[in-house]
Amino acid sequence: MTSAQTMLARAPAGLIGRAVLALVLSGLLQGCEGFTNRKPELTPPTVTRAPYAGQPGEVLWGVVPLANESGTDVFDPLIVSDKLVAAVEEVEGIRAVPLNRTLQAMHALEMRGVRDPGDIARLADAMGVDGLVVGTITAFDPYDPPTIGLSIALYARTPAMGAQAAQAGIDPRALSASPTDHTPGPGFRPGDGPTALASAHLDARDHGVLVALRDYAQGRHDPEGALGWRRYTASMDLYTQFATQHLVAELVRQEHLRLATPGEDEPPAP
Amino acid sequence: MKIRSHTCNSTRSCSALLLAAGLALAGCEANQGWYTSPAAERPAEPTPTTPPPTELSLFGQETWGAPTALPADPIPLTSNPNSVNASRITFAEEGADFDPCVSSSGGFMVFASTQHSRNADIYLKNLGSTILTQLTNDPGRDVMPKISPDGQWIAFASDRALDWNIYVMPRAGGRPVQITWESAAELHPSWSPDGKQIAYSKLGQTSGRWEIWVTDVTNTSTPHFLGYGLFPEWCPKAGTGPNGGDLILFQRSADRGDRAFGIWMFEMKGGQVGSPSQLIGSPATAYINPNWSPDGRYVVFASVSDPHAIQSADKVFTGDSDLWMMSSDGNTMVSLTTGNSSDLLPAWGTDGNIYFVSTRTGRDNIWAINAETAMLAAGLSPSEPVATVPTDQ
Repeated sequence: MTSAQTMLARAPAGLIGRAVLALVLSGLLQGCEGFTNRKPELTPPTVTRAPYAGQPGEVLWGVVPLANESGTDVFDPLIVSDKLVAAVEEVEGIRAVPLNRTLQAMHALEMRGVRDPGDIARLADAMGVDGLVVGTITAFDPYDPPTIGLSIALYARTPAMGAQAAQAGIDPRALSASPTDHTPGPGFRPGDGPTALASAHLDARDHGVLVALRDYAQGRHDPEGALGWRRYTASMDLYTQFATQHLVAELVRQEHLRLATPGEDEPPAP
Repeated sequence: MKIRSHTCNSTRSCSALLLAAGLALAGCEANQGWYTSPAAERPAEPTPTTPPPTELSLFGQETWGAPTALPADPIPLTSNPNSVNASRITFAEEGADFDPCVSSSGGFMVFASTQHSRNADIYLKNLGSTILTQLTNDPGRDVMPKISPDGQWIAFASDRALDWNIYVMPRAGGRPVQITWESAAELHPSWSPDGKQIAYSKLGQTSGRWEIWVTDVTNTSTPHFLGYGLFPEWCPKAGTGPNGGDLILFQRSADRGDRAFGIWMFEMKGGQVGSPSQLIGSPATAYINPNWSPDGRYVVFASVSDPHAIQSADKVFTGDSDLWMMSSDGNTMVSLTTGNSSDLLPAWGTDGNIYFVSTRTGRDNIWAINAETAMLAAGLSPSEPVATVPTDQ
């Protein structure tokens, strides 16, 4: 046989082999292509809605920088406070003043912190907000499983929040019989206490906390990702984001209860 | 020898390896801190904290704003009324009847009742009859009915649209028409003598106080503000003011102290109101629920001698309150009811009776007392002229 004959004799086997290889590769590529085209379905996250629906415009809240009572200084309380501002902004019907504006207002008032109801009133007046959120960081452990503790309180400042409550709680029969005037009166100011309180010690070892975290993460992460919703325990930044949203949702829920008329269904727990 | 040396060499090698491994492990342990994340050194474990208290305190252990404790039980009521000639008009055995209003003709009365539903509805009752006619049947609360001067329309307050507004419906029944539209609570309508306007109370969203507003019944787009106060009562007789205007009674509290209500009045003429005048008020006694006699010469109201004493668990005041009447100049006062019961919401009928709500049988029902008898007992003549109250005091 000549070399050409040899080549011709070998050629079909080589070609067949290459053809088979090409076929297999194309099949694999098609499979890969189909796989990459499969995008996860989009799920919108749960949205918290404020109860001030009847009020024209939106209610404006300010957030006082949180006090650090966690016993550790490995974190910056202003970063956690900023997360709280972002969590308030996520609520439909409520807008939040940026934290740096609050800091500037406190600096202008020569206020190093909020110490008494008078400070709350002065700061709220200076900022022109309808409500003021104050609070403390009671625990902070960034190591997996992370732990964060927060305690926050909402102080209503304007009739936009107080008058709503007054109307919702009006009983004309009781009002007719009342010998004294219980309306806020002119120059409505925060009362003797906060209108809503929320506190939580969110330890990621607690399965109840993890259930809440998983619900929060729905619609906020790529379910096909390596960590899935667990990324929120892998990153303290994300875990703090969850914690602030959890507390703000509880505040809003209490506002719903405060403003609920008789017979109205209780809003679902966060 | 070779074998022994080989063995020895292996042993040495193993020993050397073991030694190296041990040193390596020791080194790892010693150099554990080379990886610092997130801090330069692992911070001390935070001390376990007890779950934070649910109540935030900014001020250490001190708390402030503690709620005032209320008595566990309301004042026990007696069924032994001390008032003379009081007759029972309604006989609710469940719920309550309240907010009576008598027509100018004296033929019928409307009131709010929870006899048949937890949420109040408006009922009509012909005086002298026991038959009740239910005028509204809405899931919302319908209260404070007021009959128009011609007796054909009934204005009332309702929260059927979630917030409190004023509605007007035909006396014979029918679909109510909403005449106030703001999201603020609007209550207690009161007709003008000509039936063309309605005064009402509104809880101001900016002021945080009860305000008195007036609106045209047929053109509700431009209500206007009259002043601060609660439960306006437009004098049924027009032009009784010193300047020929209409007089409007209302209750108002001082912005200081315990804020007990007193009774005030102003004159409205041409849409403008004069300065308000206080007819009666005291820090120690509350005066509420003012209303006019049909001729505008007298004012009837409820007096609460200890306004801060008692509220029941459902916030309905069940303490002692009595009815008084007073000449519109404030000079003469006559006690109408006494006793350990709550007598409120008087409405003066043209038949000479004052209809009011009383808990004298343990439940809110409507009673009536003859005003002329009480006036004669006090040495007053029902036809005695009375000077009008100046409005620029």
